[in-house]
Order: sequence, then C-alpha cells, then structure tokens
Amino acid sequence: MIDLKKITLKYRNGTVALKDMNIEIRKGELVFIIGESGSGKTSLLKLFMGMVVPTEGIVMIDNQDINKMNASHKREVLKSMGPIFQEFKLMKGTTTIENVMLGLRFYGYDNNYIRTEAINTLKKVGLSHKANIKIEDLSWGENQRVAIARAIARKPKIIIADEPTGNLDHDNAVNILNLLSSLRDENTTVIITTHATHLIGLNSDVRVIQLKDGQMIGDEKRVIS
Amino acid sequence: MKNTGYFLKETWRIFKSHTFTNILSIVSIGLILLMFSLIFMGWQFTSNIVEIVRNEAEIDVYLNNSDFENTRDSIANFPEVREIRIVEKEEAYAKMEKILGSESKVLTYFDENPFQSYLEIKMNLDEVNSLIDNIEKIENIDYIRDNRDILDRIDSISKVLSTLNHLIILAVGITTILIISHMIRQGIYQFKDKISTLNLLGAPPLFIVAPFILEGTLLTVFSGIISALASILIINMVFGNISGTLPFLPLPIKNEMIAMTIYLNMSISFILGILGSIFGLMTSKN
Repeated sequence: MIDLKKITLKYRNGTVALKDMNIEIRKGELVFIIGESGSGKTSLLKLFMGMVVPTEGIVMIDNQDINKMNASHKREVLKSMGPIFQEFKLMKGTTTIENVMLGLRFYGYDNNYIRTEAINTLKKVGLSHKANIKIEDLSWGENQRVAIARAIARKPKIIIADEPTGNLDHDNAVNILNLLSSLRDENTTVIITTHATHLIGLNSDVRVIQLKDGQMIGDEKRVIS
Repeated sequence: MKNTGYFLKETWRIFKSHTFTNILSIVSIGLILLMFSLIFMGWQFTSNIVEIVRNEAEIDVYLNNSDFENTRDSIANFPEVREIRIVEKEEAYAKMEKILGSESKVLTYFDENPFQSYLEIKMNLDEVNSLIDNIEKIENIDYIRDNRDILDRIDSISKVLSTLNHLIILAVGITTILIISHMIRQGIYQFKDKISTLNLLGAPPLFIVAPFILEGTLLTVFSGIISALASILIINMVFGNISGTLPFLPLPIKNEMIAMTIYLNMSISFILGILGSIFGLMTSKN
C-alpha cells in the first residue's frame, strides 16, 4: 500500500528532516508514529501525501511513485486519502457541516447524499448538535473533531492523522482513537502521529514506529489481547 | 451542476471578503462600459445617417441640347444606375421653392424660370466615379453635378467613429480584463490556504477555480447591467431632444438601438468577465 524506500528529506534551509528511512505499510494496518517534536513525524506524513518531495528515495503508493504521477492521477490518490491536519485546515466562515460536506463534494455524489453522510459522521464524532455552528464559534477540540469528521466521511482507503488527539480531553481522545481504529474493519489503513503514547495501549494489534532526529529507531507490532 | 449552490455561496464569500473594493470595481467597469456604449451609439447614429445619404445619393446631369429621352435611355443601360428620370424645369423650380422655404419669394424676381431640365440619377455611392466616367463619354453632356464632397466627409466621420469604436472596444477590453484579473488575484491570495487545502483533499482544478471565475463574471455582468440601464436613459434623452430640436435628422429605430445596447453590454461584459477571471487565474502565483 505505502512503501518508503531509502528516504532522505532535506529542507532548503539545510535541516535534515528524515534520514535513510525504509517503511512499508500494508492495507488495513493501524500505525502509530511516535517521537518528540522535531523528530520528523509530520514530515513523514507530508511525504505520504506528496506534499514534499524527498531529496533521495521514492514514496510508493499502491506500487506507484507519488512524485512521478501526473496531476490527475495524484488527485485520485489524494481523493482516496483522509488527511487530518495538525492545524486542521478548516474553512473559516463556514459551518461545521459545510466543512464536512466539502470533503465529499468532488466525488460526484448528489447533495442529499453528501448532507446525510456529513450528519452521520458528525454524529460519530459527537458534533451533530453543532452542525450549523460556524467553525470560529467552536472550541479548539471541537475543531479537531470536525477535521476528523471531514476525513472519515470520505470513506478513505488511508487515514493520515497528524496529532488527532492533541487538543482533546481524555474521554474524547479515547473516543476518537476508537473511531479511527474501527475504520480498520472497512480495510482502511490508519496512520497516526501522536505524543500521547499512553493512548496507544488502548488499541489492539497496532504497529508503533518510533522516530528520533529524523531516523527510525523503533518499529514494533503490539498485539494486546 | 450538483455543486451550483456551493459555488454560488463561495462566490458570495469571495465577494464579501473585499466588498468595498468589489463595489468600486463594478462601478468603474460600469462606467468604462458606458463610455463604450456612448461611442457605439454615436457610431450607430452616424452610420445610420451615412447609410440613408448613401441610399439617397444622386447626381444631376445637364445636357447641351434637349435630347433628354434618348440620353436617359443611354444612361439607363449603365449597370451602376439604380433609377433615372427626367426632371422638367417646372419641377426644378418647385424643388428650389421647397428648399428655400420662406425665402422662395426671391424666385419671383426672375421674369422666366431660371432653371433647366435635367436628368436625376440614383445609384450606389461606391460606383459614382465609374458612372460619371461613363456619362462624361456621352456627347451631349454639358455638366454633371454631384455631392461627393459632402458624402465623402460624412463617410469619413463614420469611418473615424468606427475606428474609434474599435479602439474603445480594445481599451475597454484590456482595462476590464486587468481590473477583473486583479480582483481575482486578490481573492486567490485571500483564499490561498483554502485552495491549498482543497488541493490536498484532491479537488479537481475546475472545482477550485469555479467560484473565482463566477465572481469575475458576475462582477462584470453587474457592471454591464449598470451600463445598459444608463445607456437606455441616455438613448431616451437623446431621441427626445433630437427629434424635438432637429426633426429632419434621420435617426435609427429607437427600440432596435436599445435592444442592441442591452445585448452588446451584456455579451461584452460576460465575455470580458470570463476572460479577466481566466487571466487572473493564469497570472496568479498560486
């Protein structure tokens, strides 16, 4: 599904974000990427989405180099992903439901279907009662849940979540992780970066990749019965 | 079509992000289009006069004998001639009386009718030179009177206005495209984060740019409406004033002119809106 081969990522200012990294992520896996700030977690997620081009190595998505795809193919790949950004990237001036609907607008669905899907997803993240509230009037944590709803409403093949529980209280964080974890039932690959290592143990059958200074220092499978 | 509602909402959001500037742009473009409308109307007026004069163009041929009927028949064979008839000297006298109006009493000072019979020939103005060349070859021709100087001058005015009209179209086009493209670039800059997010979500380019194209087009269409309304007012005023003070001046048909102005303003504003928006998108760094 996702295959990183000998990846090195160096930014223009000379910072080496990732060094000689090899990762293969299979369909339906739940992968936690952990590490301190600046360890390269977000850079790794950006690589998965083709937001940055590696200095060396290749990023394969479904056996194709994402950085060599033509624009329309890359768009199709991005449409199959559900990104949850650390800074949310929600649309200011629009309501909760409009944000969730936006993620579904270019799949050719009709409006009624989009609205129904958006409402159902908002229910899953506990925000259906705030569907018509503007994003600016929601709390930080609620914004995060809207971003999650927008990603999962798309029924993506891959969820890429950058610190999805960073702004949530313990109960909401657990709920969201359970929700993301449950997507594996639909064969969705879920990749999550997090600081909250204590929450990882709540999930069974997870893979944990540990980064430090742009290098992978751990890659283990944890099966908790 | 499924996203029409979304596109309209987005367009409204983009508009609201610079409401005051957008309103000023609508008014500015409206005034530019109005200027174009006025030049166009002037061109229509003069073209109409030229066309009428062209259709009425005639030359008068005087003979050095009284063989009018044979000469008429000879001239009638020339392909440039549309119509030819003999004007008897009594008719020539009556015509001059009519032209002089209240001053016609001057004609009573003549003991005899001072006018001669002549041949009145109507033809296409463009063929007047070749016709005169042909007539001059006939032996009994004494004198040919034509109005080419006047006709040429009116024709020149019409050509100048036509050139001016084309230049104004060019100026209006370039100015409108530049204003709209600037508005679009401003909108894109304002919404650059949103555009970037849509790209990351895999939105197709047309989905991303549609609200901007719609905004540019609607801005100019509103300007076109303003210009069309102002033009209708001006047409009504002009027709009212000219038909009152200069009743002999041939005017185009008012309703046709209004319809033409509306059509012109709306179609030009629509086309310029789309072109300006596309230019704005193409020249945007995003």
